[in-house]
Amino acid sequence: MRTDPAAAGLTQSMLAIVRRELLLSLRRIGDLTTPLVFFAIICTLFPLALGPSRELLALIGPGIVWVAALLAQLLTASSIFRQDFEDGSLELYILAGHPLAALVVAKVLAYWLITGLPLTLVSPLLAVGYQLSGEAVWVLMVSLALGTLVLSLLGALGAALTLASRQGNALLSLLVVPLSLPVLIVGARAVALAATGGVAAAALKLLAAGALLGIVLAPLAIAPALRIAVD
Amino acid sequence: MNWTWFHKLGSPPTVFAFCGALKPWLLTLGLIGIGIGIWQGLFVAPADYQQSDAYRIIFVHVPAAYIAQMCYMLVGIASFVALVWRMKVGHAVAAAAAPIGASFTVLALATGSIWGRPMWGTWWEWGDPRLTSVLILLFLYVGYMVLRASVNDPLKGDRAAALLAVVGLVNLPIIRYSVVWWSSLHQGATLITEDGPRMPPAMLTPLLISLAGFTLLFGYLLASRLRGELVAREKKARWLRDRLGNVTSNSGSSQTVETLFIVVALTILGGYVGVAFLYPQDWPVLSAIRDSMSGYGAFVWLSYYLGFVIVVWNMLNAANRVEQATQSARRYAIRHEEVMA
Repeated sequence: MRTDPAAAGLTQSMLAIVRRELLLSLRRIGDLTTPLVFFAIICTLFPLALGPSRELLALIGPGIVWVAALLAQLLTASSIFRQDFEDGSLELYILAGHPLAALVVAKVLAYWLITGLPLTLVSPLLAVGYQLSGEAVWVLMVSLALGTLVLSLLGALGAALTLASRQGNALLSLLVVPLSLPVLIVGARAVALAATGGVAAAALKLLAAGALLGIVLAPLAIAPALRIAVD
Repeated sequence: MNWTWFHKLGSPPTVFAFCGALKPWLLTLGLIGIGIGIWQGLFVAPADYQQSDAYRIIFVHVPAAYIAQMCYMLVGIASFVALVWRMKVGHAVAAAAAPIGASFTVLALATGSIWGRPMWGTWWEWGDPRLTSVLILLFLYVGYMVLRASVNDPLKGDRAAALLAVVGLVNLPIIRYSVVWWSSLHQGATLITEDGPRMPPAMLTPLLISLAGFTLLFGYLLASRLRGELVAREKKARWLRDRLGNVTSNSGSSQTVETLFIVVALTILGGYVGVAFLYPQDWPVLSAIRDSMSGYGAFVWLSYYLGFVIVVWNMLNAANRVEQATQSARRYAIRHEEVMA
């Protein structure tokens, strides 16, 4: 099973990175569950703060679930490269002989599988609390799946840029939130349209376009940011 | 064609001298342009048939909004040049321009909000995509400046911030269009639409003059701050030591306290005047000003006052930065001489 690392192809290396990340997160199950619980807590806060009116909650539900997902994603974003940076793995990625941007794609996909996908799978449970049902729940799941992918990419960019900085997490939010506003706007709007009987297809296609654009362009910015931090 | 002049723009001593030579011209022409534009805008241009005299805020609001966005483009392009061709001057330009752009973004937001009060009946209208996207622009500026300041190694800070600026430049149109799309779904009660009524020349000419004046003044502010940045970055360079020898050492005390004092005094004065405007009291001079501009005097004059404060703050801040950098460089030069001797 052992292969010579120098001879390992790009796909093999990317798969190895994804497998390593998944294995690490399964061994530390807290990393996996903390964002989910945080997501649930934020979704619980709003009815408690605004009152139990069903009409109001149905009206603001799509937006709140989306904001909660964005915050839950940001919560863990700063850790994407932190450990690799501290234990030297990051330098090995840079020296691996493969394009760093491609390895970054593997890293971010693994991060999305650990955070974005679970958020998506849990979201129907929280949607019930906001009177979302039927098609709106499906739209919520699709929009979250696509949206969290873009958020993962932007979060990775913020994490890479703040590796060398003194103030990690707060600064990361300051950098990433303005950049991720289009995702929030389009994602929440898609769910709201579906909930009120509108057609959400256009918004979902915009999100898909954003995800494709992001996965092509963002690694090209994340890779140099990592090089700056390691330099 | 001989391109050496262009390549010389990448060398700090040339840029330092170039900015120094350009500064007085930019300042003089800029102040003349702003003076003519505002005078014509306030007193010569006719009142709008819909907005009466309240529209006169445009002659400070539009230049501020224009500079806010143009400056972000400048930061992004300078950062791109600095990253791709590894030009130090590019980082210096971006670092010098960002605080100026951020301050004009604040001005654009404040005057837009003041304009919104009489026109929409509210200080903030979420239905207007321009207010929202300028607010996001301010967040981008703040993130950019904080990132640069938070990295201990200045070279790393420069490059990380430059990368963020380039990403922001790519993302800005996307943010902009998503905000427009979002507000178009919300049927906002906006009086002023995107394609607005065509402007008659009597209003357009002062606006263009004011725009040109503000742009030249921005050039002046950028040139002074850029000199400060270059002094701070190149304090170990020989060309700077040679040049510092020519500069006669003046007082030597920092101007920080004076700057702070002036800005605080202006702010307190502005707050007082603002409060007097907003709450109907019969104070002799203030009520006359308030009732001018067919009743919109409070909003119009408050906008111009804020523009004045932002410009003064920028000029003092730029002078202060240059002063601090020069002193630091001079200290370094003295130490260098001692070590050499």
